[in-house]
Amino acid sequence: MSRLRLVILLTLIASIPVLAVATLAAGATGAGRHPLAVKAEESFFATLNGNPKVRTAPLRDLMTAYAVSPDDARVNLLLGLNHLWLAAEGDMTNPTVIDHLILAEHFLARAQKLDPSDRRIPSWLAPVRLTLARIHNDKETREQSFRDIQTAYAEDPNFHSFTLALLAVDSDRKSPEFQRGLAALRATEGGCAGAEDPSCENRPRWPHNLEAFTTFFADYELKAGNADRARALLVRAQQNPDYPRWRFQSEVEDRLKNLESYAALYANADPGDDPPHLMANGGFMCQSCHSGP
Amino acid sequence: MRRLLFPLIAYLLFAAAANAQPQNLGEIARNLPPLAREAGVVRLPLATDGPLAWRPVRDGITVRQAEGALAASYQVAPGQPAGAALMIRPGSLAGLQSLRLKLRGNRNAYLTVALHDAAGVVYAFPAVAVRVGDAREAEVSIGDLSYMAPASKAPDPGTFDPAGAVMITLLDISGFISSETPEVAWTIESFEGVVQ
Repeated sequence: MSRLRLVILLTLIASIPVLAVATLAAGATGAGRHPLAVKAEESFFATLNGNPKVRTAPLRDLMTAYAVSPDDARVNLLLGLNHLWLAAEGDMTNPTVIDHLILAEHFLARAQKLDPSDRRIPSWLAPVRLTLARIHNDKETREQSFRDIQTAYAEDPNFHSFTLALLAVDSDRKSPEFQRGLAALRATEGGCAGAEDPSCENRPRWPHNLEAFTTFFADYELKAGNADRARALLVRAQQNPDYPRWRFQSEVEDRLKNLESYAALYANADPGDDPPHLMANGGFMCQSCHSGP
Repeated sequence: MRRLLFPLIAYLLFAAAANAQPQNLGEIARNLPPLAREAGVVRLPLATDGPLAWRPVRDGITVRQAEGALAASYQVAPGQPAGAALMIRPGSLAGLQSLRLKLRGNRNAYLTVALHDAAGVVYAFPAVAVRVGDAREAEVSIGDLSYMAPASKAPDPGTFDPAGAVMITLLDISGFISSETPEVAWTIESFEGVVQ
């Protein structure tokens, strides 16, 4: 695997939908938790939602909580997500980012073992394992990771459609993988219509889920060659009541301004000049959904 | 001066094996004009002429000023960095907290902003993304500086005082991490330091 391929892969894990972390099983946040675990959770979300520049800061509190309460599934989950965030938005030219992938895999796998009922974890764990498997040239794990996310998608399409699509975002637009991702995103439109599902809403801990998802979807449609659909989605993103507070409005405006030229760049044979994708090759993949207010 | 700077820069960046730091680099930098500070901001020039001018870091790179912006173009070469360098007077970045850039390019790339001191120590910020389309803003924090061993000709002192910086480089290191050799062009529309 070329180093460039590695860089691309590292960017892919960026979009791990930290989304809806707050909806873990009630027991994990219940009265039995160690106070340090509660404090660490507050620290993590305060940073994720409000101060992303210091994204290494929650690790100390989380590791302290882990030291005193190593079987707290949520502490393990948040440790995994914090490392995932650091990998996803880290320096893509720096191989030490792989450290964070290894730690993310460890803690997410442990969280899954401690709380098998949390069926959102595959959306974070599968991309991490897939990326590591590609680094290790481990075909078996790579294929298993794809199967894991497809199984998870079948159980909860609204939550996992994003990750299913993400894993194919850099594939050829005519490939089955890319088309499967596109179909999943489109299905989510219908699946979310009228549904009371946290995956389909903005909430305090994922205050711009809808704007980011819709812009990601627009990028996908544009790459698929559907500029009119992409434009309609971008306009929809702008119509969201939370859009005026979204930090990444310029991403939508940039796409609307350059839609035709971006479509041409997606259509040519050179993937290296593809236009900016909200969830790849950037420094705010997690933040696009989670950065407040 | 102009003829002297490029060889010095090239020497500083790529002659690590020779272990031969130019002895007068600090002296050259000390004779440069200071950068103006205003309201906690140091504006870095984007010129390619005059004493405070950006220079290519190797042959085959074109660096020019266009409509007030700094534009660089080159073909990625295996095993070689690409980019531009600006020498500055020591003290210019004293109290630096972060650097803000506004940049765009013709393809997906990453630029590493590095600070060099007169002893040959190089510290780099995390790479910033270059994207097509409208220029995008990026900010790198002093807290994220780390020792850049391949470009340094002196051991890691453990910390880097930006007040001692005598050169800033904008480096594309894709020649080291990819076998592809595309034609790359990027433009820096603004570049400033936030200081205490």
